[in-house]
Amino acid sequence: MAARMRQEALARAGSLLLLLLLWEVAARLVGNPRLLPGILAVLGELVREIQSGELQYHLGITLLRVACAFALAMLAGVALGTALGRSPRLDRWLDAWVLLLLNIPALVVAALLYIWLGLTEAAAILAVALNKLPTVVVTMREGARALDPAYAELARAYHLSHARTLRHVVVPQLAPYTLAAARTGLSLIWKIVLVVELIGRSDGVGFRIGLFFQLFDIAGILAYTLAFAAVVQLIEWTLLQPLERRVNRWR
Amino acid sequence: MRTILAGLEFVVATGSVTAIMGPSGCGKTTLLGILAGLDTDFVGERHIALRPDGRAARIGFVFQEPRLLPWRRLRDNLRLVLPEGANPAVVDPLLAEVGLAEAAELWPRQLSLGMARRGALARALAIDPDLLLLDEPFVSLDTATAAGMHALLLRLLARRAGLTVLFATHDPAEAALLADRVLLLGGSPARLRADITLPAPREARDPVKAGAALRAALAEAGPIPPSPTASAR
Repeated sequence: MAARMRQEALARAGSLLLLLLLWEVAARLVGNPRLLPGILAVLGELVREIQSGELQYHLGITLLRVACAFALAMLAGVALGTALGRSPRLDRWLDAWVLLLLNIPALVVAALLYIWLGLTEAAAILAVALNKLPTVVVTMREGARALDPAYAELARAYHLSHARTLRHVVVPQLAPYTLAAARTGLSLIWKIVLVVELIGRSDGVGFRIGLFFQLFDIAGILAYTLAFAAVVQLIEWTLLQPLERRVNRWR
Repeated sequence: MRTILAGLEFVVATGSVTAIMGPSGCGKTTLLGILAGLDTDFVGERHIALRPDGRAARIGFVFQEPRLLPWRRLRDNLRLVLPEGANPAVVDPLLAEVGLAEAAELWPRQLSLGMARRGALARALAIDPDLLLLDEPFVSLDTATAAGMHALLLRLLARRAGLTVLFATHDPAEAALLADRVLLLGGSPARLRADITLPAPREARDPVKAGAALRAALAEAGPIPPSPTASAR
């Protein structure tokens, strides 16, 4: 078991190293550091941004927005999705709305909210949350539909209270779906939040990358991408994967 | 809508053990569901005597498949059904009683079918029931395991004098071993085809002779028309 895990970790690290190697080779082949800077140039930029405190500041703000939008979308999405999965009537009424929201481009939602609510923090967070919401709803609806009636019958046979039924019978069945929704939702949020920041905020990673874009500063863009990717990996390893193991430990 | 049971009327005595027999699909599970209060889609009345303290009777139900929550450890499966505020330690002696003391910390998928069945039985007993309903509790066990379960149930019953039991089975030998009385259902909709009282006490019966006698009595009730849903269950 431990040996297999070590092998897996090695493979992961190896694939990452390979990617960096390909990057460096490509940079040398291109031979133009303004078009494709090498690893060292980007790391240098990264260090400069950290030393000036810019990176921590913008990354921190973006992460805060991600956290708020994520919490909002998960809370609303789990509640709504579960309700839709349990009530076919409600689902008939709201299904078209969910589908519509699912297909509206992120940029449209962001632009509309910025116009309606002004270039505010609330508009930014709401825009990100609204983009993520329908995917959470759809996943949770599947989960609620898949609830096993046999266990509901068991809960009734033993007169379990609503609180106990929810905690011991319903939530464990929904947990894998909630986790899947969190996963896909998080990866979606990373993609959207920068766009929302780019068009309507004067801080955050998206704003910073917009600035680099105007200056054609590819090293800056890649430096922030690197930092961003590192944070995403960190969340995956320290939060999502342990949580997933815990939820699935009975299998 | 199809009528599954019709014209069914019977009274079972407190502390008695009644076997409900009949072809599969005839409505044994439906009858138990009605008695348990799980199935309310019926016309008729069901009365269950109150407890001596005047409160509603507690009903323990053992489903045909053990139906332990797979995401809770065995011990937690038992604790879950205890009334709010009950001492959670009461489940440990019960687990020991059904021979699962060592398995308390296991997940249900780590249990064999026989163990899971005993776990489900212990769970039903955890609420200190007045009425115990068992839906084919020994089906698809190998002979030795089933025999062990029979002995276990007899031991459990011997220690709980006031406990009223109804169990569904299609095995006359099992009914002859465990029950005081056999209700035979049959037909479509199912009606009461026979009501057989077995010689008391259970412990004094010779299993082989009692089984043969019950088979003869069941045959005397006449051939049972095949149930149209026998394959559709």
